[in-house]
Amino acid sequence: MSRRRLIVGLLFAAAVATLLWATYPCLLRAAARWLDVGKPPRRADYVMLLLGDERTRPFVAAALVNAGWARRVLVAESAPTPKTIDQILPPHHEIARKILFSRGVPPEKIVVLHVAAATTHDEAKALAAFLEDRADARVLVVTSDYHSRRSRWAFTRALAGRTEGVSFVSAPTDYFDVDRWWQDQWGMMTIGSEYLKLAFYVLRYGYLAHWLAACGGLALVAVWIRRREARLF
Amino acid sequence: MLKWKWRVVVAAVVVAVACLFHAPLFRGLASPLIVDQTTDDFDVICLLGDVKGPDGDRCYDVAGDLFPKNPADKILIVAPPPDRVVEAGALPSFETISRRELAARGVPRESITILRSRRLDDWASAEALDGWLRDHPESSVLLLCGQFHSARVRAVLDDALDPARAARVRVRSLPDRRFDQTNWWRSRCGVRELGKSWLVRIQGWLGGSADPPPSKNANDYQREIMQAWQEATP
Repeated sequence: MSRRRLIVGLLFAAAVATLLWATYPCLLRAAARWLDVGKPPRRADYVMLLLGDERTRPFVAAALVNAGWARRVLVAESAPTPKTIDQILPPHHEIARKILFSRGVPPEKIVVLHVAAATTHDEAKALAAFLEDRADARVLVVTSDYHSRRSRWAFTRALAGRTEGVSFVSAPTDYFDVDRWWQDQWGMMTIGSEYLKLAFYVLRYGYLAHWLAACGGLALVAVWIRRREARLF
Repeated sequence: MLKWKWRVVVAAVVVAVACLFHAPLFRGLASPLIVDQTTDDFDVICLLGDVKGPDGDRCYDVAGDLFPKNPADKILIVAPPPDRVVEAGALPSFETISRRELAARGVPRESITILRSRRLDDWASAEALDGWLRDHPESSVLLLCGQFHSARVRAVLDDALDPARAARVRVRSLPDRRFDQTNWWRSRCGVRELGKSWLVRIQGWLGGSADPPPSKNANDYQREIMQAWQEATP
């Protein structure tokens, strides 16, 4: 009985391994694409430019304002880091502001939200506070393509029911080949860590009800597998 | 039923042991990422950098302290190619930042040599350093880099350089002021850094290095985005 079970298990494992080996480039490509939930822009009052990845995001925000999709850019003030404390580098919001300015966005159109944002969650809370007395404002959140799913998740929670005026525009990543991200140092660091951060966000900021539902679902699956095994062997 | 009870007991024991000995376990998790070959036997200091600035917290302070002890009076800066952010004037280049910071620490301008890497990764930095080592067969280099990045740098140097030249480069790892190997799990930035460093280490083991697509200037990048929006908007 147990020998038959072992052989079936080994065959199953071999089949899964073969399938994974044959399809891993497609799976990894799909994993990168899955992170991107950005949509084409629509008319809005503000562009919320998320901090980080200055090689892409501020250029997209500037293009949106210059093309008339939005009137003003919101940037959260970034929390200090060792490099900014030592004045080796300017803070992220300052870099973003300079890029926007260099790409033709006048300074009066750039609004700095005074929070010490260290995470996407902090930025989401900053936007929620900004929108408290601007209920009808429409906002385009600009972030990197790989970061848009986690951002949408964080903003949906922070804005709690006021998300109809908020949409997400992706800034395409072009400093590594997204179709071969696992072969590139930056690709691995970016896409791989995004999955880790996504898992952390679900754990840290997720709703208890969702967790209970997920655990209940897993328990049901475990019971079903055990019963099935008992019937088979 | 008895089998299940045993499984629960074993799981509980494993969890208890993990909780009790979490510190050595976490230190052990960081160990494969760290190489420290601190030595006095060098005549050139080398600094690495990327779009996020220099690699290694307080690397300029350490380089400034080591410089008077350095008989050849030379600091190598491996500079990545300029990107859109530098071209937009929003950020000084790594070369400019390094010159400014080293000058503030008493390093004369003529002691700094800039090596240009052809792209932004450890392999390209190793290639640039390899070229310099070939032209200076008598020199030995102390390379400064971030603590959790040091094993990766060492591995890339060993892989990309001729063994004799690789042996002339020593890696000194610089811990971050906010965390190190003994306490990284206590801060969010420590966990983030460890996760990223492990990913890059795994990428080195599995994938090696792929050439990135050719870089676009800001105008081309924005033009392509606008075109994509026009095509996607009904």
